[in-house]
Amino acid sequence: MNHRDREPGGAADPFDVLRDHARAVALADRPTIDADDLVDSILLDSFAGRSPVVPVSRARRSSPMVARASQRRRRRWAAAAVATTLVGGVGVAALPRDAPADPAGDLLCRSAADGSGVTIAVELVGDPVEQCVEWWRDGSLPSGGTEGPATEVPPLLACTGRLALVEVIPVEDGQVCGDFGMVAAETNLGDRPEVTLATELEAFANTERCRSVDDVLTRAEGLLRDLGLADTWSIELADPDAPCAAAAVDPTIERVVLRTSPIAVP
Amino acid sequence: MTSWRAAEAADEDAEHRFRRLVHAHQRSLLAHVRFVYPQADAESVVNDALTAAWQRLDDIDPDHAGTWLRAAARYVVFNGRRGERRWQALNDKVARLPPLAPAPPPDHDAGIELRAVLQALGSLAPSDREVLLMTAIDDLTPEQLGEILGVTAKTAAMRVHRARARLRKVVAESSDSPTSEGDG
Repeated sequence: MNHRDREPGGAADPFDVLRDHARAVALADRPTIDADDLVDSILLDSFAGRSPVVPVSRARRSSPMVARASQRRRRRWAAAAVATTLVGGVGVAALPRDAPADPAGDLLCRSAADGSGVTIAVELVGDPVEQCVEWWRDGSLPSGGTEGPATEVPPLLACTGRLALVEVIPVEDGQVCGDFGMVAAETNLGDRPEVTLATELEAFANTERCRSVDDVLTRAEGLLRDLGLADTWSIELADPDAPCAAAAVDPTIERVVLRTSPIAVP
Repeated sequence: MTSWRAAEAADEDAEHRFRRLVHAHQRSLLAHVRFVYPQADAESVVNDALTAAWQRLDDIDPDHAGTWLRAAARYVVFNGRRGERRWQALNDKVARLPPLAPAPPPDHDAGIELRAVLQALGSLAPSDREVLLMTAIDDLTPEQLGEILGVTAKTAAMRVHRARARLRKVVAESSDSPTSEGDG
């Protein structure tokens, strides 16, 4: 379909005029989002369970397209997201677009315990349940699928999950954090050594500056030792040959994972 | 290699393949969406299509990734239209097709100007417009167009043939019309 037709008498086909125009448009068109940034955003969104479900019923011979991030990928990006969500930085990319994303967000207020619905990420500055109640009261978290201010805030529970230090979820009577694969949150987080570990390590490793695996490893070992975590925590080298290393802190399994940095340029 | 290591290696491979796919197709896909669906939020559509690609990465034949992504983008656009119950309104809007971009100076000695073509395009049925815009922005074979539209290559070729014939007819009628005189 790329041949040129000619009208009788040699006149150009209108379609050719259109195609020339299309090519001019395409040449002038540039994405505003860098490809690597887009990849990182999609991977983090996918992990956070915010990916759209996009079935393609006819265009593809295979079965309809449904969201089914693999467990392996979830596990892998869980580690990365823990660190980024702990101390901000690129963690904001994991947040829903419509939420008041706070780059320093380490508290997730969820409208549904299973992670569906609306999630709002904010900085934890006090009692996590009280903070999230405010979001419920102003209608940012839809109750029962209805929009607008909630007439009644459901019972809320503060749990520690894999995505953030604290997730506040609506629960029914008798439900506990363990029902959702989490543990009850400690609300006094300021003095927790893993917070310091994540903050310090990410500030060192997870920037656009390229840090070698050896440098990040040395830093991680030093922090673990200084914070008294060396006996219980472990360090995993996911990508020993990575040109630039990033660090992910996963407090749920007490492990620091060093892997290829998604943002640093060698 | 342990199974855990094998899983990690597979993850690395998947991410690498996805990154290559985005680098290879992001720009052309964005241009495609902007041109074919000017009323859509193109970057959002591209984001959703690429997200779908990540979710179905193992099912995408690299040789057909371009058409797969265009099909996914088409689904996103149409699904969004239905969801917002604005399908008819958008059709009306497309019928009054605005200029797609600043028109280049006319350089066609046949005297056919872009403005006349765009005006003619706006009077065509949406299905005609879609195939014309798709094939104008991308050099698609009938097989590729068929994959995007979910029809056979033969049907796709026929749609393009008929759409181009209708476009020629409308442009010709427009240029013969007294009201078109003075349009340049």
